[in-house]
Amino acid sequence: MLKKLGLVLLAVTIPVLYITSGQLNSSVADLGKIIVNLFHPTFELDSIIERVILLIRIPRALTAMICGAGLAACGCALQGVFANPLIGPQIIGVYSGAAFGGALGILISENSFLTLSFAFLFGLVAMILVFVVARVQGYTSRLTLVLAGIVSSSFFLALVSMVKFVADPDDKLPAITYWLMGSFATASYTKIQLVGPLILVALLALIILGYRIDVLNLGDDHAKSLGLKVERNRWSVLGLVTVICAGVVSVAGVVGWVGLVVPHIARHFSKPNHFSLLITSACIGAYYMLVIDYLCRGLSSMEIPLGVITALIGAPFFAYLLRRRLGS
Amino acid sequence: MLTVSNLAVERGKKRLIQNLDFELLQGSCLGVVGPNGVGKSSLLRVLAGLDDPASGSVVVSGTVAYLPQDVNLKSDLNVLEMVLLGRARYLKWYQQPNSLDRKEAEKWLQVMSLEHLAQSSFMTLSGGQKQLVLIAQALTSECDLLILDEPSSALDLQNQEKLFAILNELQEVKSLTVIFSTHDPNHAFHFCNHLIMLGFSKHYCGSCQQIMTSQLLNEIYNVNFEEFFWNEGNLKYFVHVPTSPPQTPR
Repeated sequence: MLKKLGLVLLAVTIPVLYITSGQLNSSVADLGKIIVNLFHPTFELDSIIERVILLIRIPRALTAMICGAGLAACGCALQGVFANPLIGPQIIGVYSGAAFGGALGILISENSFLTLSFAFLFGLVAMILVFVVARVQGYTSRLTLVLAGIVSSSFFLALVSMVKFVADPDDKLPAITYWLMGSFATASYTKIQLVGPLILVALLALIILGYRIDVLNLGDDHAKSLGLKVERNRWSVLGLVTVICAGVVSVAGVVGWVGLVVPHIARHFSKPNHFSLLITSACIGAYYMLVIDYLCRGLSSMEIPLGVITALIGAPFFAYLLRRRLGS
Repeated sequence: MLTVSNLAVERGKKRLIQNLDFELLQGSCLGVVGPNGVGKSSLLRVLAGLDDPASGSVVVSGTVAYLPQDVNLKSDLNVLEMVLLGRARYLKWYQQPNSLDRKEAEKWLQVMSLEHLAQSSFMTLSGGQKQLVLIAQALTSECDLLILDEPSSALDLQNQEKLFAILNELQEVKSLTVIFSTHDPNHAFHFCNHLIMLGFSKHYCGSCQQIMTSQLLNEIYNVNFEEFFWNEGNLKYFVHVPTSPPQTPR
């Protein structure tokens, strides 16, 4: 009971802290007033604080949470399908495809929505490439899938380098480089409206598929002998993962490590079946990303790129978790 | 139940079995014996529909469940959840197992007398228990034909007895059809009514009583088997007696 109360308290405190603190400090009372004002304008407020909170911090917090939940669930689903705890969303090549799409978008135009749609589109293209490479005579093995992911990854990373190479070093190159390092700084309600529903619907579908991921986890032969259509189910999971990853990369750039680390944390709190595991991963992922982004904003006067912090925290933490798991 | 006609089985490009014909009625039990590498596992995989035959056809009426030789799979699930996965066939993609599925799973756990393990983690079970759990899973999937690849190879003698007693009971209760491969001719002889003996050059297929003889065993395994009779000659056992017994230094 006490534990649950603590969790609820934590679940409320983290977002409130995230929204109220920053370069422009505001109080919890301000947040309360803003929320009341939304429904019924009662209080007089400093318009700058109101605008910062409503138009910058809240959409940014929402984006971070949606992306975190999505990535964590992706990692969890992939680790289940491949029965391999070392697999994260990067491995299937969607990330690199989306990274290339985004870089290309920045190169050819100033329009941020073109960047977003290119990132999303090329994420899907990368998955199709994986599909074509990995499927041999109507059948895909786990091993060829991972190898095809590596192929697709390398291919698109080379294209990213190519884009960087031809980009104008004074103007476009820094923009591409910063975009690739990941950030929620450009989050807006419009972006949430564009990508949020896609990610959330895919996330929900992934959770519903949890039971099937349990079956796939047993191995192809076993799953087949239990009457599961292995190919169809596995590609459904991969398709949903692609939608989520491409969506995340298109709004936030390349955010590594979250999908790999969070499911391992979730395993300590959840029942082992993937239905529960996916829900727990998504919840923890949402808050994990919020905390990470809080650190990005707060650690120094300049904003630190998201990808840097996720790796700096994720890598040692992952090493610790692995050692603990091996030890037990 | 199962009709196999003119079946050929290959592993890679190597032809292992040719011209296999047999028919299996519901509730019967088929044993497959033969030396290592002769194609027992390959044959069972083809019968289970996991691999395609090189030629010929396998026609099964009903659903098939297959238990691989190595049951040492890694899964964090508990036993009940593991058995519940047997319902996958009957659930639409958006459905989760409901209370009826749970009842079905619990029923088979009870039949296998595993109900006390329902909440234990699958990983912590012994090899024998894992095998029984996976059989319970297969039964939860309401299979009509159960195919087991060397089910007794990882089990101690007591668990072997238990396994075959349970299989026997299931044949009677559920008129389950069972196919299993084994290296112990006695298991095949005492539990099966049909037998396939696979040799490298030819195979024998037919009623267990007829074709299971020490001569044929000697031929396909290339070792010496003797027949022993027990219980006033009513029970026949096959015992491996090496022609040149190992020399123990005295």
